[in-house]
Amino acid sequence: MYNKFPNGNILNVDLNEGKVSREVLPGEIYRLYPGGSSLGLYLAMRDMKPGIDPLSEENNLVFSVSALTGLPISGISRVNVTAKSPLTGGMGDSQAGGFFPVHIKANGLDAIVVKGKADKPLYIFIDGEDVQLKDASLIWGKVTGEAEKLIREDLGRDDVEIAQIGPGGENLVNYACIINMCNRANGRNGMGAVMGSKNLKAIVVAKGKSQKPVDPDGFFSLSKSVMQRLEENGSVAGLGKFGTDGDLEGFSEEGFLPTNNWTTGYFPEGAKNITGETMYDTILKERDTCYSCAVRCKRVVEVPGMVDPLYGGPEYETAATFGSYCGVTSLEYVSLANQMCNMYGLDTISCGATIAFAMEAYEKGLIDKAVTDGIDLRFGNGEALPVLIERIAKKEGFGKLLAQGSYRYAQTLGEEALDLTVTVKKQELPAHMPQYKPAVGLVYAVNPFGADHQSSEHDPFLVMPEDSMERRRLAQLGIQKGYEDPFTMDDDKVRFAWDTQKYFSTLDTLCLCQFVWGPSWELYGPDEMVELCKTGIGWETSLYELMQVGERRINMMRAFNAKEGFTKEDDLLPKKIFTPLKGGPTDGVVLDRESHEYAKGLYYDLAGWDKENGNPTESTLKKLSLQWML
Amino acid sequence: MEITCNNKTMEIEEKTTLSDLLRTLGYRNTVAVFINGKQLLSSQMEGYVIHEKDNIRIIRILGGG
Repeated sequence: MYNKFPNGNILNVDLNEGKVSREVLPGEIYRLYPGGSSLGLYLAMRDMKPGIDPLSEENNLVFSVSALTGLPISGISRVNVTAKSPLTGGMGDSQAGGFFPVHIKANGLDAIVVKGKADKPLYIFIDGEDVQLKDASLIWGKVTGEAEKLIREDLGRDDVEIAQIGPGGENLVNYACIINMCNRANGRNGMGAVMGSKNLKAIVVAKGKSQKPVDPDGFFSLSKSVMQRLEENGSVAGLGKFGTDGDLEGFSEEGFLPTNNWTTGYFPEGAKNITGETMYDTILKERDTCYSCAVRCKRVVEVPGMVDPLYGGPEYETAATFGSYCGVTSLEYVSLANQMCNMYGLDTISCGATIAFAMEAYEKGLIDKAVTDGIDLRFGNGEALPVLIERIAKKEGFGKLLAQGSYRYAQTLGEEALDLTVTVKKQELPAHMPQYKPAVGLVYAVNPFGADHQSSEHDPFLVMPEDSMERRRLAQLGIQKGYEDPFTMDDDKVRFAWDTQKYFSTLDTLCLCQFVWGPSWELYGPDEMVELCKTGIGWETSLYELMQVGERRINMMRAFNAKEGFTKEDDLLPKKIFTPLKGGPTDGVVLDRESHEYAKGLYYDLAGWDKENGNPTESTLKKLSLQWML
Repeated sequence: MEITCNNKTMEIEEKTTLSDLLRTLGYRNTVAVFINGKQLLSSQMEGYVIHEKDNIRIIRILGGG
């Protein structure tokens, strides 16, 4: 039976006029941009001019799910937020899990487009056909936990899911995020600041029913296999038990855990304390999950009198940025920092990395106590973390300087400070070292929205044996070559980076969790992603079409950035990556600049981008049905 | 008996399996293993019995997240 691709249902909210309207996106267009980041980009960019101030009312903010969202299967409840980023200056996006995403869909919506700026704080409440713009004056200024409570009281109902900003977003911190359930973050790219610039405190959706698959037998055969897949998949089972932080100590032992603002990869004095295993043995209260997901990787931690389980628990990135980046060995302070970021609505990666940068600048004498409000900002000072996080969110004192992000702050301090920054396109690097994962480093450099660790597959999986599930799945993408170590960079590695970047881009478009769906170690591989589309919504697709969906998204961002003046000169890894690491098993290790530069050149060729300026060519955009972006 | 593991010489008991060794060394993560320069397939790892003088290289597979 032929199933036409479903139409997309869009809710447009004009905050200037205080009006809402609905729009149907025809299935043939929706199929090109079938959700998430891709749909968000299409809706945000179609009437947005280049050159606008990201924190002005001219920026468009889009919350989007996908045609698949709401189907009852693991790893399917993700929401994407898109807007021009105040952190990078290019198009930005960020994804989060939880239950909020599935209930957007349960209200019949694929996307919510927010334009303009409200003249006073408000929140949007959606209950099916009923959409209300509600006064948020009394909620503005509250941290997320309090705000959730007040919104529920205001509505007089508990059956709602809430995505909101904290004071960080209200005060336009460049790396403010959007939080749902008080502990799930659309973390990166400063989407919370864009929301704050619109005087929009929250989007609240009433809970509804999940989506039914069009082919129940085929679909449930896929979904019911999840427990067996978990049993057979040590990587994902480990994620479930120890969280994303389970490997942190391993990274340190190998010498690739970014420590003391990336001066070393070795953190013997603290890695064990802040790893997921220790968290499991000490402060873990329970494992949490997203809608319909069997993995249960989310942490909920409690330290009586110090850390409230409402705010979840630290992920690997958070444990690294507030832990090893800052030389902090206390799991309690790392957990408190995580809580504070979730309360105040700040991205833990950029926030922790910015503080780590400031710590090194302090130790090197580039700033002193007169600047830091008297705080002794040496590496290892865990007590400084909660103080600084609050000041950043409120833009008070030294916090106002750090609220810019590390790169912009360093610009005010001079060249020596800029050399200490660890950013791409002004966004702080996540905790995976290009010296260990050169293909990830390549994608850090060329990624249109700044360094991101969830935008391609990681190098070590190519070291697995050829009969492993990981390698067999990669072979389905045409990636057959194996390696004896993760460090090698060659032509095949560049293709691995580009092809898996397209794949991950597809995942961010279909709003699929990258721990459950992916091209190698995850629970479901390429075949099953195609099967999900077919049995879930009757989409007669192929891996070819899905990879093109991912490629289209990357090119949309890149083409927008080109109009903003971005070129390959913005595709630069920081100096630190080419500076020898100090101490431990990786003493003296650097990323080889020559092979990295060669890889970038080949990458531009593979992507169909102009080698001179690094931007998509006319024929590449036409190949992807993106003529409208020329 | 004597083996070399990640460039370090060590003594282990005879008939030690690779799984035993990984457990003893505290490897909880996924690993790739090369023995005397040749990579073991996944299907060979579970029951592999280590031999005297084996030169073993263990590579921890640390992914994303």
